Amino acid sequence: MSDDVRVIVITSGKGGVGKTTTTANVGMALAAHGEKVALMDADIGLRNLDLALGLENRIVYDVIDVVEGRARLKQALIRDKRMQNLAMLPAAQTRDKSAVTSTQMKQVVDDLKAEGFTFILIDCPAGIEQGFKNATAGATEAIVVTNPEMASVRDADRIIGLLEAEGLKDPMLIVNRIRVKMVKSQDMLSVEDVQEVLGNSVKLLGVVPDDNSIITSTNRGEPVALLKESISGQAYRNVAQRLLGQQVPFLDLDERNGLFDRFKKLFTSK
Amino acid sequence: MSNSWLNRFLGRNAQTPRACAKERLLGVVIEDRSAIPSSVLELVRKEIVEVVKKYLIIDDQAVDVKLEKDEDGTYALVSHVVSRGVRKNEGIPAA
Repeated sequence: MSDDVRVIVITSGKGGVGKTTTTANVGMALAAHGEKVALMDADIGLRNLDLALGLENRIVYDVIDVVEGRARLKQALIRDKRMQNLAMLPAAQTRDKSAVTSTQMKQVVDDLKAEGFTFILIDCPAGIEQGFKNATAGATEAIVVTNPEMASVRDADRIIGLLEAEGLKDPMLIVNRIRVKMVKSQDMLSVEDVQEVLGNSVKLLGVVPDDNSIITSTNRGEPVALLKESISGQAYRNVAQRLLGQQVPFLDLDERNGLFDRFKKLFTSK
Repeated sequence: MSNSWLNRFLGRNAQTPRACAKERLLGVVIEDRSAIPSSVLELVRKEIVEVVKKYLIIDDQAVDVKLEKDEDGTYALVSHVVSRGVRKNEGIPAA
């Protein structure tokens, strides 16, 4: 039964590309589909997933408390009040990555499986050291998040190699913070460019536009996936649907042209 | 490999930022994957310069060495040499 549980690590290599935001939003969107979702913050010492979800005031125990036997898993899991079938397991803030081993992290994942979750998403820390190894230990699938920007694509390529070495083949790719106008003016890498660099083994799972509403919603502790009218929220909801095996076309982000662009088009089109 | 003279020669500055980023990325990614460090490629490049110099008139920066991935997944060492003519020396057969 527990073999049906999807355990997905969300990783990137480089920091600041949107792993935590992706974890929070894809988790919310999956939960909205009725999936029982556990989100695990594997960034020991740099806890952030709680902020993305707006759950920072409800933390009593963390993953290290569970590993070291001070709390049971059920006590440490925080149920989301907006989305009853979503729970978060916080990272410890006062310890560091050496506080746990891969074996212990894998045990936590196994215990989460036994709790009846259908999806376990693991928010991986940046880097390729112990934290990465811990976060990938219990996973059977991987999502690589990248920005259309050189350093993050290069790091994504490294991470894909390391994931394969850990037995996580054919990772899924989310290109985050794309700016269609810049791509069209030949100033930014396109999604296709990123795919070409990363190669055929990577399957495109989602394209998320650069969107101010991510900042405002994160500031409020409300993942954009909960906001019906948000385009990035829609992009994350589409990712969730694709994870559930549904065929969803990629968003036409070009439609997001502002009034000025539409005017310009009027005058420049023949 | 930084090779500003060659870059200018090949017109990289005329490229769009997007095309430039893609080309540079393909270069570093292939180096990362092949595990052949750029310092080794630079040594190879310098020695090619020395060899080619014996026979052809070239600028030191006119030799470019890079890795390319072949269809079968193996790495090919590709060198691009810009020459300004044949050196007139003993031992070099006249045209």
